[in-house]
Amino acid sequence: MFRILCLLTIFSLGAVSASRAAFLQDTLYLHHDTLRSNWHYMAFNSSPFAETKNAPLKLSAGDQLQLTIFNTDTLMHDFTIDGIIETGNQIPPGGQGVWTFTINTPGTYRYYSSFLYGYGLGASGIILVGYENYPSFYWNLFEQQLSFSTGVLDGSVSAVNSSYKPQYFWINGISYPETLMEPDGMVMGMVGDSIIIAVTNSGKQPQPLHLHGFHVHILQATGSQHMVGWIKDSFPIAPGQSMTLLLVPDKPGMYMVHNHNLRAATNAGLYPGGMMTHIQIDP
Amino acid sequence: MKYTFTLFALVMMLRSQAQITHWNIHAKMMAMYEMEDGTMVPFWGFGVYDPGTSNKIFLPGPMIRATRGDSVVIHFFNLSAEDHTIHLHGLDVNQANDGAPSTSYAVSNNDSTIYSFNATHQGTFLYHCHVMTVQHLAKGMYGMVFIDHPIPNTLKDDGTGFNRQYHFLTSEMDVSWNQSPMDPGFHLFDPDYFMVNGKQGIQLFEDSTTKIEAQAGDSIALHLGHIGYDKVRYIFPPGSNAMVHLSDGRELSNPFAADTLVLYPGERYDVILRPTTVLSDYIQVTYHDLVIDSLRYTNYIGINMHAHPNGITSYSNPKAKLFCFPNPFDGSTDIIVPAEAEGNYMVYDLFGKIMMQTHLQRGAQQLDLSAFPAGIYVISNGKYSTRLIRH
Repeated sequence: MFRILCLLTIFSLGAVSASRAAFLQDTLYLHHDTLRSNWHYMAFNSSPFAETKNAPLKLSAGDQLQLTIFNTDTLMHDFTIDGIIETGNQIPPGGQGVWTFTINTPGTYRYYSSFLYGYGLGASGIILVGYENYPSFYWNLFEQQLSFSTGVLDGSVSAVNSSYKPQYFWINGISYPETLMEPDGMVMGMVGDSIIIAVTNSGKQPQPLHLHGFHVHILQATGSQHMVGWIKDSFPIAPGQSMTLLLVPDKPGMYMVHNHNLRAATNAGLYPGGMMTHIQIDP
Repeated sequence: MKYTFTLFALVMMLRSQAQITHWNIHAKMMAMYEMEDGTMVPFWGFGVYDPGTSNKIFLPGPMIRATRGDSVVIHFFNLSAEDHTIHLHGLDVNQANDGAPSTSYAVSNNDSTIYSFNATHQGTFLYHCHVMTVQHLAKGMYGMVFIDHPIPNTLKDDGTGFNRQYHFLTSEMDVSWNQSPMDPGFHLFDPDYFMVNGKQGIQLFEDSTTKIEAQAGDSIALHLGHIGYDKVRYIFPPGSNAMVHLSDGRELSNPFAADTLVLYPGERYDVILRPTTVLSDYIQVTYHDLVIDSLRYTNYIGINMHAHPNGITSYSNPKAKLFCFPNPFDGSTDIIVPAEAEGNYMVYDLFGKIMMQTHLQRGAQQLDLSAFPAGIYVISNGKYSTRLIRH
């Protein structure tokens, strides 16, 4: 019975938001830029300055968000949220689009450009709906291979295939150890806190994450629905899918979180690196 | 239910003197491992430390086992030239005992340390070295941790139990990584061996840990862990009635029936098979590329059930049964022959008439019965045998 009560409590964490529905406006800039001169990436940023991190969006369930998107790229893009905005969503190069939408169910969702040269180069971000009374963090997972990105842009690559061997692995547009200075991804909290972590796999391969020190409750998932309600320390997130995790730390300390496909815990073949960050819990 | 809780309380009272389980584990970087095809591969790994012995290491490392409620103390001896640790994967140990050098510490050569934790949940867990993890793990520095429920043969607090159990740890090996001391580019792990408990292919039929022997009516618990970098899928044979009860050492809110079960790197599941028929079949373990999901390899874990002694049929020597699949089959079937079963065989029909003579070698090979009419046949060398059902 106690466990049932606990579960009810957990599942109702996000539900309190309904009464706060509001009309909000926001603007995103879709950028195409390069790192190290030839690594092409794309991202939806909250300012006119390009960076690899897609802006996380945070809403209450039932909020109306009027979102203006500027497409600064030289190619056609769109703004897609699976099940919410799927048609009539194209944005011509240099143009802009305005969409107003509402998400009624608390959880983690993904927005992206559904063109391979869009999401495939990183134009894919997280929307967290609900859970506004809890500290929240974002893990937007992405991996990148130089020859894939250039191949997509010159038209010689049209899909992920057996030659896809990514070299860089990101959380919120950055690799370990720089992830430790990225405040949206590095989890900080105190013993007994209820911490929400919104995870989206913006990459093109499953990302099997592992937490040191703690198990998490899987509160919501757009993919692996059967795992909702489970308590796990290792779990995969399929490409394009999202999960909402609840972490209630029972002890202080600093703990790693990383991809347990250990190829993804590297930077261009060097360990440690890649899709790895920390959870820091104060007493 | 009530009875179970009473029993549970009683067992907990009996165990109320806090038990301390000690393990002595060492790490080494010099040993050779014989693969299925005879290739000798150097590996790094763990063993049970005993000062009076040569301190061998194993692939995978020894299973570290304790009972829920125990305090577990692992005395770790690094008998090698480089730094190593033990990371207790999924056991939610505190920072000091975590074994990740960046947040705790590494154990240098010829040094030792003590890791300790409280076993708070029953189920399947893992351990591995967390120094240069992508390399040290790939070279063989891993094993399983299993925490038993305080009540013997029990999986869950509601009394869900079993009367036989097997532990299967899946992993992969990229032999070139084991053979070369050079940095290969650690994002390029490309396995060429695919293992269950360190065994592949025919080796599984020569190892009692990877052959399921059971009796009609048995409940068979499978404790599954995956420490490789790619994806594995268990395919349970029809009639095995697999129920998935735990994952990552936690009871599932929605235990579910499964024909297949996928494990990603680091995941664990605890499953109970309750076959309603007398199975003579196998579990397939398929290994898939993580990115494009292509099938890389299939291992077979035989399930050999015997009718209950009171039943009509029984095998006098259950160990001497060969596995073949498919069975029933059209025309031909694959038969699996462990080394000790190699030799000349006869195929008989139900009247005892010799239909065919053949020589079976160690390994999997095709047995062609397409020239015979549909029916039931027996292949036997006097010691090893199996029944063949030709459609």
